[in-house]
Formats: sequence, structure tokens, C-alpha cells
Amino acid sequence: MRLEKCWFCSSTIYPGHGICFVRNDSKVFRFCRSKCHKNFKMKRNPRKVKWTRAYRVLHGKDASSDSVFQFERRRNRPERYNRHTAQSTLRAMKRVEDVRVRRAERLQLKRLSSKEHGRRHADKYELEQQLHLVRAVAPIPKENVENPRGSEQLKVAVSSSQQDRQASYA
Amino acid sequence: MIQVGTNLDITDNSGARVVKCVKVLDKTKQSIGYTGTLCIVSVKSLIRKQKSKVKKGHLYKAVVCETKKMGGRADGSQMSCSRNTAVLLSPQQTPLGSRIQGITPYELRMKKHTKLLSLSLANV
Repeated sequence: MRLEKCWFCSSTIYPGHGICFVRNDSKVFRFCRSKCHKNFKMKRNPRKVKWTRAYRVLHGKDASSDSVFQFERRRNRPERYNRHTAQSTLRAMKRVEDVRVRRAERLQLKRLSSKEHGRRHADKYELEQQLHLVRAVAPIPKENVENPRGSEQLKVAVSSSQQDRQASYA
Repeated sequence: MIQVGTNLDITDNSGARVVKCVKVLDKTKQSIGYTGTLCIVSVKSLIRKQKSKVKKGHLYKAVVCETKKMGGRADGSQMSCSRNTAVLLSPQQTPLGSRIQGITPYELRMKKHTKLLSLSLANV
């Protein structure tokens, strides 16, 4: 089983998927889906289309020159089958994948960290400059809560006792 | 889709440049050739007259390698090429040329033209 790479978006083509086009000079173009085939027919450059891997690598969105990518490379020389080699390769594949994922995450965090700094800066500026938009909330007086007719209640003098006030309402 | 009257480029070094399909050797009623189909062809033009193994106007057997029409393959994927090509064969169905300047599809393996696969630039 051979897994090919899409000529346009560089994703993996599994057996039974995609379209293969052979040009006049016997160059073989493989596409993972009709979307990539259509873009090729429209003569679009994958380096200028944002969702392709070529674009992402070119603009520093993905890692390109990492040693983990050296393992996943097309080799035209066929390897002689060796049981030990096959076993160690299978073990190494998992390890390489782990390392690749970890490095990708690290790159992602690195890319996000610059954005986080900018976001904090903007928040701080907003807080300093636009504080007048935030209305201060005063604590509600206790009397107001007990009596539903709160507006009348507020007119009562503060010095008067609780019993006097109750008598006046009755 | 190769049918009677289709012009095909020849990718081997037998000496023929363009051939015309005279008959498609298949058992279906429609008699349309795809990659790996045997045809009888007549030679229309030659690359060089002196060293050519074939003669203009003569009939030969040929096997279709590339077709412009997109066709499904055994594994479910699809393939199309930018031209129609074929390779000339002897009456015993052995290749006339000794080298193929083009691709050979793996459908030829199913038709047991394994000799052609070893002569070509790439098997697709």
C-alpha cells in the first residue's frame, strides 16, 4: 500500500481516493479530491491559495524544516525486508508522530503568544481610557428591600427609630 | 474512449508516430477501448523512415496505454491523460519496440502485458 501526496494541498491520498492526471511529458499529478483537481484545472498556484500546505509553510504558519519530516519522504530505492528493521520502524513511527505533534503544538503556542500580548495591551488601554462607561452600583438599603413602596420609605428621617416608622405606616 | 477512426500517438521506439484505430478487439457491443484494450491499428506517419521497424499503411496490433477520457480504476480512483497513446505489438503480442517513452498503466498487468511494464518510464 502506497500513500501518495496531493499535488495541490499536500494531504495524504489513501488507496481508492482521488484523481490522477498524466501530462504530455509523462509527469503524474495526483489529487486528493475534486476540489484540488478543479483548482489545478483553473491553473491556480498552490503557494497563493491560503488553505494549502505550501502556503502555510511559505508564510510561517506551519513548521517546514524540521527533522521529523525527514522520516516521511518518498524513497525510490526499495528496502530489503528485514523483520527487525520492520519492527523497529513501526515502533519509531509512533515516537516520531508524538514528537511531530508536540513540536506543532509548541509552534502554535509561540504563534499565539504574540497575539496574547496584543490582546492584554488592548484590554488595559480600554480599562484606563473608558472607565466612565462603567456605572458604579450602590448597595441597596435594607428598608427598601422590606417595603415594596421604596420611594416613600426613603423620605423618612434616618434618626427615627424602627417602631416609629412602623406606626406611621399603620 | 478509443473507437474506430481514433488517432493514437505511439510511445515506443518502433518507429511509428501516429496510428489510426481500425478495430477494437473487445467482446462488448459498443467496442470502445480503454487503457489496456487491444486494437488493430494502421500506421499513419513514421518518426524516421530508414530505421523504422514498421511500415506506413501496414496493420499492427496495439495496446492502449493512455486515454484522454477519465476512467475508473480497479481500486476506485480515477485517471486521465492529456493524450491518447498506444504501444505497438507483434502478432504474438510481444512488444515491437525496446523502450517506451511514456507511462504504462497497471491495467496492463491484469492483461498480462508485463513485458511492457518493464520497458516503460513509469508505471502509474
